[in-house]
Amino acid sequence: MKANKLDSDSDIQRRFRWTGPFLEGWSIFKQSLLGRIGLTLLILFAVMALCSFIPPWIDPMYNPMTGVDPDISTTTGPSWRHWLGTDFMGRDILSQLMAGARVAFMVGVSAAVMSVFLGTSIGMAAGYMGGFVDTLLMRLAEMIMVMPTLLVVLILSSVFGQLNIWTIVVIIALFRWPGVSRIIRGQTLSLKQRSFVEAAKVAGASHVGIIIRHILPNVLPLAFLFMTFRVTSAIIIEAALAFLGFGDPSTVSWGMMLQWVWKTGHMFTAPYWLLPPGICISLITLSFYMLGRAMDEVLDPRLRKEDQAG
Amino acid sequence: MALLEVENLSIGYNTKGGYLKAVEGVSFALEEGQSLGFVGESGCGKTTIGMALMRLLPPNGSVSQGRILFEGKDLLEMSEREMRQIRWGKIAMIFQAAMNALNPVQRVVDQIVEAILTHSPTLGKREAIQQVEDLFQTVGIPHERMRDYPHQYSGGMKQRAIIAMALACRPKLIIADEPTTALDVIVQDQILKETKYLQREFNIGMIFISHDISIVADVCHDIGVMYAGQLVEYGPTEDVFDSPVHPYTKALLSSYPTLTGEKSLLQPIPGETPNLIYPPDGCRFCDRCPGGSPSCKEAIQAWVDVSPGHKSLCYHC
Amino acid sequence: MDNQANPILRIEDISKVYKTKGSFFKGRGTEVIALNRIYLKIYKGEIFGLVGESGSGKTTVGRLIVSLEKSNQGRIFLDGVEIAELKGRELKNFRRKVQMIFQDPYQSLNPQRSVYDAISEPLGVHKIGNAATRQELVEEAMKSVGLSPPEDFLHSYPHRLSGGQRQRVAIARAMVLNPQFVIADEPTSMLDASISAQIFNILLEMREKSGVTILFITHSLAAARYLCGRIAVMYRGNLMEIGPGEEIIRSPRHPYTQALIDAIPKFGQRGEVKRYGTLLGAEREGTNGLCCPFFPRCKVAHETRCGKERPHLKELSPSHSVACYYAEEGFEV
Repeated sequence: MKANKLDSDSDIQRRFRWTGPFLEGWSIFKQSLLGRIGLTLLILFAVMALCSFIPPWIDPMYNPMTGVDPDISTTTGPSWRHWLGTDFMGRDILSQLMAGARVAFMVGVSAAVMSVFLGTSIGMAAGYMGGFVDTLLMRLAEMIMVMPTLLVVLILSSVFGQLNIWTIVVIIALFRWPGVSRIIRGQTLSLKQRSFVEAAKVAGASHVGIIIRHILPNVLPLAFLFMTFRVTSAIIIEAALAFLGFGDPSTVSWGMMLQWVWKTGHMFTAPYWLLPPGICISLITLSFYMLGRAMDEVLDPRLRKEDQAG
Repeated sequence: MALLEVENLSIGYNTKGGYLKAVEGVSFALEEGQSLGFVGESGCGKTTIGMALMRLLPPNGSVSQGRILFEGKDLLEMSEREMRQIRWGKIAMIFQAAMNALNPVQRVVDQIVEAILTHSPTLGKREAIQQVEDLFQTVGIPHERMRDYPHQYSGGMKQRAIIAMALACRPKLIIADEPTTALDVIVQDQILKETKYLQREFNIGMIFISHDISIVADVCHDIGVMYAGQLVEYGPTEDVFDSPVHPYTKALLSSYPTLTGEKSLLQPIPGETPNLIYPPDGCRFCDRCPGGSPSCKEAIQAWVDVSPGHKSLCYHC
Repeated sequence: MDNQANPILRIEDISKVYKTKGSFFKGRGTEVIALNRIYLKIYKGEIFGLVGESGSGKTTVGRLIVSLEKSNQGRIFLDGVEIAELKGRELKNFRRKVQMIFQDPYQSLNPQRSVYDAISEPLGVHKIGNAATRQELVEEAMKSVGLSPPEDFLHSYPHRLSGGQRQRVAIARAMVLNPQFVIADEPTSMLDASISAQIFNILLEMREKSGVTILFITHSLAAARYLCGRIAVMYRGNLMEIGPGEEIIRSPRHPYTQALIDAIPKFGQRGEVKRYGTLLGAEREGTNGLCCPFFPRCKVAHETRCGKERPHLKELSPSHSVACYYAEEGFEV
């Protein structure tokens, strides 16, 4: 008997009852090179975002939006005072970059959380209830899915004028749930057939109880996986909007920085100004993507199954 | 010379948890036209042996020691090209999930013709089709169903088609791995009868792998009982079933409900099969064995001859 | 059986038809008759075996009883109350009394929930006890299925358990409410023989201890013989024969039951095996839907009678009924 193994396992599980499955997922995650790279990069960006409050606190001239170096009135290259140089008004690029990281996280994560929340609830409702509700919700999802998000946001902002950053977040969320909901619906449909759901029914559990106890925990990992991919797309959409001049003029995002480079005609003359935001956008989306891929591996049931021989 | 001789075969898998010793020190021999059954529970290594004989182990599995002599030549030392000639040509296999072995978008007859032509390229297509016709007659598929697609067949017919395919190249040896597990009893009975008849009629050697003792007893001349990667008892079918010696064989036999005889309380085997990444010392059945004693764990395992051809891997016998 | 007059479960004239969806190209959907006018009585405290091949409708019977599906016709009574009529509080009460053990222990436990969560769920649903007493009830149920000591398994997740252990958890979950009636739907078909025997013995013990009535659904006559007092044999949605297990196996009267017994490999007694030989080699052509369900494969059938009308269950003795015109006379092949 594998008594020894079981004993130590249940010991661990008794102590970390809720974190047990999480720890196990982590042990698979750790083995993935992509996951480790992605996570390291994300931690770096997070540190960057958290530290974005420090420069303005050292000296008001490092404020990313309003702080202008009194001695500089045009864009300059890296120096001791400005490690990455200054923009056309003499603002510090490094502090803008750090503020941009904060905005990227804010936009990316909140838009992703909202769209995944919407997508998961709608997908579960459609899959579990089936019939008319299912048809209605899925047709709606398909209608939204075929609309190009970027174009719609552009039209909206040209109608309503400049959009606030939070409005942009909400719009991204509203247009990004259908993909999630379709996947979650499929998963719900297959879970509904599994006999543990039937067993719960036979035990007398209510529909809400079944959804909360049996469907949700099994679609949640998938929802988290989608979250990472949605973060990527939200950041890209926001950057594109900002670059095209439809961003929130009161925030410093990386897309905004690129737009300033473009608008002031420094595209090919100030690489120290153009490259940092460009590289940051690529890296942060890449790192969320890598994180998602590694999580995909964690969720792969084939890797979770116990090894068999026969 | 025996058709197939396996000497001291050990096979392992690299798994996440470590090196899993799926089969250890298995030796047996099969004469031409004889059938040998392997019986054991899931995870005992019986399927692994079948796969190793075909050299079709999954990528993480490998033979760590031993020899597989087929007609005197070691299969393990052959090149992949030579092996391909032997596979299907001389050794055919009927898989566990045979129903899925047929290509759903190709007519059944075409699939078998293709198999024949691959191994005897000199044959014309018309002759090959004629052969398939004969084969279908032997396995009992009506002639007019030949040009059907697999999904038009019932489970039993698919299995028959697979058997026809296995016979297509006149193999010397057939490895049948749970060929009837997914079928209903009545169909299973027909397929088993057919298999038995064809095996004897064409004088083919057969390795029959199953978890069900009664099926193996029905089909095979000799029988090997496997437990946790080891062969624990080996001998003529009648001897093994009528007078089992190894405690595991006895326990397995008394855990089956039967249709006839006294209705007595079944004796389940307590506990679970051992972990094969860290197999126990000495006898692997010891922890679940009613007659196990500490000395079983210390003693070196050795075969004990019970009667001619019948041996057991138990220190107490 | 002392409760002959008063069955705990009564099935009357139940039929179930599945309709496959039609499509634009295929036209109207087809109907598949899963159950064809079944009558059944199950008495308190017995283990009743429902035996049949795949597609015989045996699982559908179980699913109808726990009302996972609705029948198209007929009524099911538990303790004299018709279950299709139940609503609200009464339905919830009914759920306490009837439980089900599913076939595949790899599917019947939620991978995201621990053993304790799984077994305590029915207690939570029916608001029985508080946290401490629930734990006690769960541990007791675990001990009774041989998962002891319970602490070793209580907080394990299903993927850590073997198939046999999972099935024990599923049984504990079914038994924790102390139900009156349990449906065991092929509980061992995914398990090894030695583990199956453990499960069989647990079911026997349960019946002994709590007097629960069990409907044991299986494809194996041998398993039914071991566990059950009475056995019903089903074929393509029809009940063919019903009677005491030992009697059905020793002297089956329906040609289908006889064919089934012929087909089961027997070991240990070569030579003395009697064969009935009632199975036709090739299926009979040109049959209509009205004939005896076994008519196409039956060697002893008569075109004029069996091919025209389906025979109904007829009592041979008070306990043994057969749906065959020729069962009384017996037939020679």
